[in-house]
Amino acid sequence: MVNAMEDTLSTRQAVLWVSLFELGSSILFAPAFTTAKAGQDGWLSALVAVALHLAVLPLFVAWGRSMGNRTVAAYMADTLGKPLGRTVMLLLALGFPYLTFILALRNLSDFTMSATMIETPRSPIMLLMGALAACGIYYGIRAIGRTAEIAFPFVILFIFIIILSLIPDIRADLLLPFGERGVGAIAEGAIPLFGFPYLDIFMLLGLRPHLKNKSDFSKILIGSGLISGCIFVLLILFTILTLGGDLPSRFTHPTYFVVRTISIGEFYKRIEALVSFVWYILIFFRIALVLYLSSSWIAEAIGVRDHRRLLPPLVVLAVSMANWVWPNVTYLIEFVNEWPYYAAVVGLLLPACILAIGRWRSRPA
Amino acid sequence: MGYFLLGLGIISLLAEINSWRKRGSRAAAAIPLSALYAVSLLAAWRIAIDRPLPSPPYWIHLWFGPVSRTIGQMLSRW
Repeated sequence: MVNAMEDTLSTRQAVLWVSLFELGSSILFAPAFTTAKAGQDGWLSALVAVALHLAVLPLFVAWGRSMGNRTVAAYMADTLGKPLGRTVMLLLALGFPYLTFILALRNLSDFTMSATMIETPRSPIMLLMGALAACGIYYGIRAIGRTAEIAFPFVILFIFIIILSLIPDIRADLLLPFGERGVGAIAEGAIPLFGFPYLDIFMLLGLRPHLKNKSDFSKILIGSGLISGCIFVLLILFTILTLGGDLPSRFTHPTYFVVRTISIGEFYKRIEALVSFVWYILIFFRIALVLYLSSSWIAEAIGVRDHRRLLPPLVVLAVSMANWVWPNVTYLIEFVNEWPYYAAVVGLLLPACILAIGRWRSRPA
Repeated sequence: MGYFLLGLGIISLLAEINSWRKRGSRAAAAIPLSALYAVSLLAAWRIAIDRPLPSPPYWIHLWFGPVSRTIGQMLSRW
């Protein structure tokens, strides 16, 4: 257990953790979102999503600078006044990191039940991962930062193995005709990926007070965005090169499916377990981060000094809620098209308004 | 599984109450913590009796579904 003041992250740990956070959940779905609208140009949609992500980063860097050494809740309280600031903080914590935590738990159980443990009920799967993340947070975010340093090379190695294994099956002609559905379709394909995960970056401001070097916040956002962006583009490109532009959008987990098609010399096949393994690592880091942010933001909003006291009820509530958060996997496909607009309101518009109010209130008289 | 969650919630609530008794707790923190425990126990109980509460994404779907469709149509025309 680490004292809250000593619970710091190095720049390297933060870059790796945030990269894993951005890749978690969406790595399995990204080819489906992008190709559903843009077809064989889905990889261009991924490039557009990364470019949009880099374009909105200055807003969050400016937020970080305005925060100084304060936490997000303290900045809100100073900007909006204590009662309003705390209320907004509580609603924001419940409606953004906590909702993301619930959705990530549900994603985990949906994937596990459809790919590996079909007959297992969903609650134990979610409870085990929730409890694991809560244990990690209990020992401090530095512990998770160090785990990210250990896990990251393995994730990159396994993704590299997956991409190399797909090379014998790729067909360059599947990328043609180039730009068939127009610029609008490429932009439309970029929206779901921009919304999920890149509009989640507002939440990363919650990590800023724990950085050893706070001036590196912009480096962390840019570095992690580029790492996850490269992986998204490569995976989507190789999925299209293997399956074409239409097929990936018909699967909920196209990345998993494309790896199932690998068969080299009739002895190197069925390596989809590797995808499951990578995904469980990624989803752990996503769940740990959103659970940490939920507990710390709610604790600050309701005046509880030690946020770890909130972990047990938050995990129990999330596991219960994840059971009914959507009726089936098909609903997810529809929901993913609507999430970016919701995320744009709570993760982009609201922070921009609060930053504008803060700047306006701190202007010289 | 709902009853298991309910039991887990009750055990952690008892542990929390025990820690208040040992260390003493500020009333300002105890009230919201108790409220959070009450909500989580209610949610677990609703799962146990198979009558879950309304889903949060339903509200997102209701408010942002039309926005998503309008912007999608605009981009498709482009």
